[in-house]
Amino acid sequence: MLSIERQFENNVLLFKLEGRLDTLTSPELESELEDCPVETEEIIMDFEKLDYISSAGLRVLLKAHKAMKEKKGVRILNANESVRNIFEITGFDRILNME
Amino acid sequence: MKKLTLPAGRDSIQHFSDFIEKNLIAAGAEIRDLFKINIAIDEILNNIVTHGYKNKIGAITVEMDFLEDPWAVEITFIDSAGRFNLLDAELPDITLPADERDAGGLGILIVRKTMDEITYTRADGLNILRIVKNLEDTRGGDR
Repeated sequence: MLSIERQFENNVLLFKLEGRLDTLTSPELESELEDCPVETEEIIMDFEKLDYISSAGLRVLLKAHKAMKEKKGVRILNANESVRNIFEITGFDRILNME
Repeated sequence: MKKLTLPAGRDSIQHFSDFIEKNLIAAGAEIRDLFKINIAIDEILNNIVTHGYKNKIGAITVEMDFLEDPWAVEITFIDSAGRFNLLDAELPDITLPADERDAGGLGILIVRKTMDEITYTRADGLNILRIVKNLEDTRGGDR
């Protein structure tokens, strides 16, 4: 279960995710990211309503971050304790910009 | 003890997750523990389907039980794919910069860091992986 809300404004691509980002749902986000406008300067992921993330979700975030490395990368907003815990365990808290 | 056997496949991952989650909620598990367990079973089942059976035909059995003192859930995954012990798997270097990182091994790392006990047995051609997660006990009352 994952719902993805998407906005593109001032070359910033914002995703608001709700639900669970796991093996079954991460291909949906991957597909949204592959459809990213070429002029995108930054990708922002609002995780306020994201319950949790598994490594399948991390894989998609890492791919997006690498694709955006010449620009501003991927920024994560409002991650809950569960998501932060997974980021810390895997070192992703040092790779992605988290607020 | 509750038990469910399904064909190995992506659809089954959802059924197993629902089965485990339903029993955890019925037992009174906290949402925080529920999320950790959901993540671990997503990692383990995806590993069996993708790397164990390599997306080919197979079966997976999941057994679950609750333990007391401390209150915990015990979940056992049984499959007949090639031998794989996640306790022997090499863990990724999480200190590397983004350019040098790949996503391999992250699921195993997550399972090993979030579960309280993991045991692996290979017997009669089966991988038997048992995980135990201690649960925050907020049930109250006499048991």
